[in-house]
Amino acid sequence: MLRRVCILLVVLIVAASVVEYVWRLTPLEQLQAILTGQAPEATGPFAGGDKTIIRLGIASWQMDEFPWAETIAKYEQAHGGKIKIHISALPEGTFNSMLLFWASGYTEYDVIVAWADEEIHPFINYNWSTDDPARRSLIINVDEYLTPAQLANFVPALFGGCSRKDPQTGGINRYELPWMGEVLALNYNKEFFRQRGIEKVPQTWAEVADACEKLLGVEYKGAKAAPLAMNFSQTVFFGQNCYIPMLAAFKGARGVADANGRLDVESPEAVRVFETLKRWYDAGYISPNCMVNEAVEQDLRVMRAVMYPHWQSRGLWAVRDHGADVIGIAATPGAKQGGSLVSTYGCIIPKCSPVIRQAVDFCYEAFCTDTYGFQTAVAMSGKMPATKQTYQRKDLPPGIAELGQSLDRGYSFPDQVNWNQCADILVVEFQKYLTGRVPTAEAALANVRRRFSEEVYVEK
Amino acid sequence: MTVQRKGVSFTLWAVLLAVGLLSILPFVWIVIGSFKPHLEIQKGNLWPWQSYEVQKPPAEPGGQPTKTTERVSLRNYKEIFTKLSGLPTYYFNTLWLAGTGTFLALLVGALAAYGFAHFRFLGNKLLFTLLLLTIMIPAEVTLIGRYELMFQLRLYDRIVGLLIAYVAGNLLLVIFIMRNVFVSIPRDLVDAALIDGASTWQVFWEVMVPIGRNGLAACAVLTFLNIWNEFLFALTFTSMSKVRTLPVGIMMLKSQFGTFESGVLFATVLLSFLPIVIVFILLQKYFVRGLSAGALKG
Repeated sequence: MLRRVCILLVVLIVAASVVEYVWRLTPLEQLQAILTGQAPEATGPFAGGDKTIIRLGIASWQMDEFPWAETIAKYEQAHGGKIKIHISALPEGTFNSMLLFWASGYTEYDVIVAWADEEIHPFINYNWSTDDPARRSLIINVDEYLTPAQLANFVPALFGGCSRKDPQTGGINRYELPWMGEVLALNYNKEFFRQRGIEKVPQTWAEVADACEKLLGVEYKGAKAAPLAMNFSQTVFFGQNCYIPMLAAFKGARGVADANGRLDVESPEAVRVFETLKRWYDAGYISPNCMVNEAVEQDLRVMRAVMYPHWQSRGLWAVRDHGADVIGIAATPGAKQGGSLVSTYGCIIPKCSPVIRQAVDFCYEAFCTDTYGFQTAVAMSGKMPATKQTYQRKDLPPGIAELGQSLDRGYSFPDQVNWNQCADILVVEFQKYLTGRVPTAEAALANVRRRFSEEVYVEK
Repeated sequence: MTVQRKGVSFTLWAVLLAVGLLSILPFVWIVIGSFKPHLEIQKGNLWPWQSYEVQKPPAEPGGQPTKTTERVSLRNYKEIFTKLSGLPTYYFNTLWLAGTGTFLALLVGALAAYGFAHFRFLGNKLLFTLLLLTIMIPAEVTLIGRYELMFQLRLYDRIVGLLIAYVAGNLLLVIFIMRNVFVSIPRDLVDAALIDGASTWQVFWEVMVPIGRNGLAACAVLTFLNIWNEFLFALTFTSMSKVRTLPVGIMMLKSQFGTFESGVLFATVLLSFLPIVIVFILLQKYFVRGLSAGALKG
């Protein structure tokens, strides 16, 4: 009896596996087909018959933040059902798995909306040194598919992070169709400001220090709130929210990159950033949660901190919790001198997609314009819209229109390809300085430079 | 002869109780946290008797939002299905992989273990030692090679690809445990069956499997657990939603900046480990016996 059951099970498993291997029907789809008597919908690029199928992969975190399904339904309807979009959520980490497939000329997706903007760089860099422009990079240069008028609709700063100077032609290639951005802002609690008589929102880091001094000891429901939430945990947020904006402000118009286009960790201003942050930490300005990412990320929302330099969306999340009377969003300190850090999210299209032209038209029309209300939805969710026209709207959430002006002087991360690794080294060496294991800021930054040269920029 | 049971000292009892409580604390934390909103968990207001305010949207456009007080809520469980719409698919895929993978690993592994335990052939010990050595190679080391293999064999983004990887990965554990279990079965039993006219195939099914069922149950629990929780291969070898598994699905609850909505995460984690708890409860009496079977021989 047991033997027969085992043999039967083996046969069933093998049969289900063979069906899946040949026809790409998962066991669940096979079961559904058996139960309903209907063949499941095909999903391949040529499965649509006379319809054009566009396969869209979207980062999982974006799925419930933006109205993808509604926008796609409107787009399909507007095109008389001749175009069919298959949408799928992508978890963090799967994106780079596609590199090998794309290099081999095969893709599961015609459009990818990446988990984070730096994820696209391996695809840009791939095969970059070839003389053949068609083979250079695995993703399309959108300039070749969009008209100058279409390109002019985008906020220019949003192209910063995805543009690369072509080594052979000398021209600038753009590899994303931007549909939203993030801009660094000073998110703050108006209620605490009122309590301590602070009327003007700090516009420089010196004014932030003055505000912190006044805010020391402020309380919410009997619990102390820190004047400033800064993220010193081992994440990219130290580099992104603390080091880069402060360095940009201190250096003025000179930017945060060195002569080689890499993150500046050598200038006197870099030393000043480290020293300033340590001084503030020692003075008790900084939230005690600064070393714990999960905790410091919530400080503003749960009224444990008064100011939080971070993306504007962080402020808007707090606005949703407490209202615009309590939470304010202003341009990042020093934005007038050094501009604002901008991050871009866009659609990328692999060169091996069989429907490049249709995919570009779809992305532009559906997500990069407000034809189906997508750009409005981006603004309403607290992100920065990608098109200039959206900023003209009168009903934008608090801060978005004002921060839109700071995009004019927006800059992106230096050397995006190595940004994560550089940010990691930077924060670890800063922590050593902060906790006294390295005596001076100069010594800490010397360690950063040594590790950059040994671990990131290894001379071949 | 009567066996005198030694009294357990109060100190030992207290230590055991403390360790037990410490072990169960994360579980309790997850259960009660799954009924609280994210911000309340962050504030430390975790207990069911602690109340909190909830802002509800206005009943009509232009109206004022209303505030109500709650102590617990099922909102996190409802939100799972909006944030993770593919959850039923991930559940089925994981259940299929864990069920079929465990079955195949037990079947193939037990047969191999039977061979190692009861047949004398050239290189038996050497082959077994070589197999054991491969346990020492971490899966991460072979990941790129396996990915390339999956790609070349067109097994990427297929459940069957993951199934093969999981069966192969858990086979050694089954062989190792079951060989020791089979070695501990007296040779006389096998000889008696052979004298009665049973074939070696029948000996396996009629003698080895029934006697070694505790070992098989232990292997089943461990293999099921390994496959149910497996994350790295499932993340690397799949990209499409329809072939995704539960651990990868849970990771998709991460927000843009890598943080989680704690309440929803707790609710999802609770739902995800329930099958494991059920499997363990059903098989626990065999589990300890199975692991200790053959412990003195090998």
